[in-house]
Amino acid sequence: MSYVSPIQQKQSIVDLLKDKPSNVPLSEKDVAAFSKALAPPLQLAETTVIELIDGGPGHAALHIDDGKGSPFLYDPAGSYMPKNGVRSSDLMSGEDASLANYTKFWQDRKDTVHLHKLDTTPAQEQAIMKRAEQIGSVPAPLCASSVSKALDGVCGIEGSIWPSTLGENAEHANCK
Amino acid sequence: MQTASNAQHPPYYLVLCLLILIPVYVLAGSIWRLKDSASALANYETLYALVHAAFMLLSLMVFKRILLQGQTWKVLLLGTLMGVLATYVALPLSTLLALDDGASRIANGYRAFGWVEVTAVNGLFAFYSYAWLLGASLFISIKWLMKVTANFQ
Repeated sequence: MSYVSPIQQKQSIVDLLKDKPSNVPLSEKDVAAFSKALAPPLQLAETTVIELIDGGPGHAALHIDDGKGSPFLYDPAGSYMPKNGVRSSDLMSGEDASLANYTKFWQDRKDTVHLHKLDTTPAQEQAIMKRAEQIGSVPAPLCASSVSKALDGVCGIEGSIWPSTLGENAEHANCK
Repeated sequence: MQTASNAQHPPYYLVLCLLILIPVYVLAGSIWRLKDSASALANYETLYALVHAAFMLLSLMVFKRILLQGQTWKVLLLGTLMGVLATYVALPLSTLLALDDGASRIANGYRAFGWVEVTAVNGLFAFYSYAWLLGASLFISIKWLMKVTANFQ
């Protein structure tokens, strides 16, 4: 599955209504969708800094769950293989970006996975995803540097070139 | 006199280098591949080891004279430097050869982090992957083996 940026906005109900000719009356479905768009349900989104302890220098990755079913995974210079067996780049979306699958993948290989959850705002998450997309796929030793650059000091996290140090800094993050 | 000329004969020296180099890199490669590495890209480690080994063989050929006649500390220092330098060569080259998007990965790395950080991170990689130790061990082992075989002849 190729990467689809979660930043790209889907066409909203307002845009759909704008496109509709003015002489066509609104259907019940349109009205219901419009009402729903006006009062969106509470969505719990979060950013997770993933730290892997693999007996070597370790690894760092980044996951964002927007709470709307469009997860985002940034696995710079990583070797995680999604369930479908195709990895097109270090950026993953949709089913390929499942945090549960990612964690299981490494736990099955006897690696220790530490998840550092950050209470980020939607604006911060969008900015993190945008920065990750700008960096893109990188060569082997730049995993922690790439995650650090994508985070860009969000919640006071100091960047590091070492996955373990980055994980430690993420553990002491303060998002308030 | 015959001993010295045998030891310094290019094919003899090359065979000796390969005799040491091949098992060392087979061992190092098998250690690196004991399990999937989380931070290395798929099918990358083998090519990295091959390029690293090729560079070390080349440096053993180029610095043959220092290796045979130089003092132990000089050989150790040269081996350490060559091990680190081999990492700097093997990292981008194996990325280019092993991965379809290798060129863009390298370009992204330099664009996002600049030469200084990429060079520093590659240097750290050479340190924690023990490339420096591998280089020093190779050089001193070959020097020692040349000495031993010369004494036996």
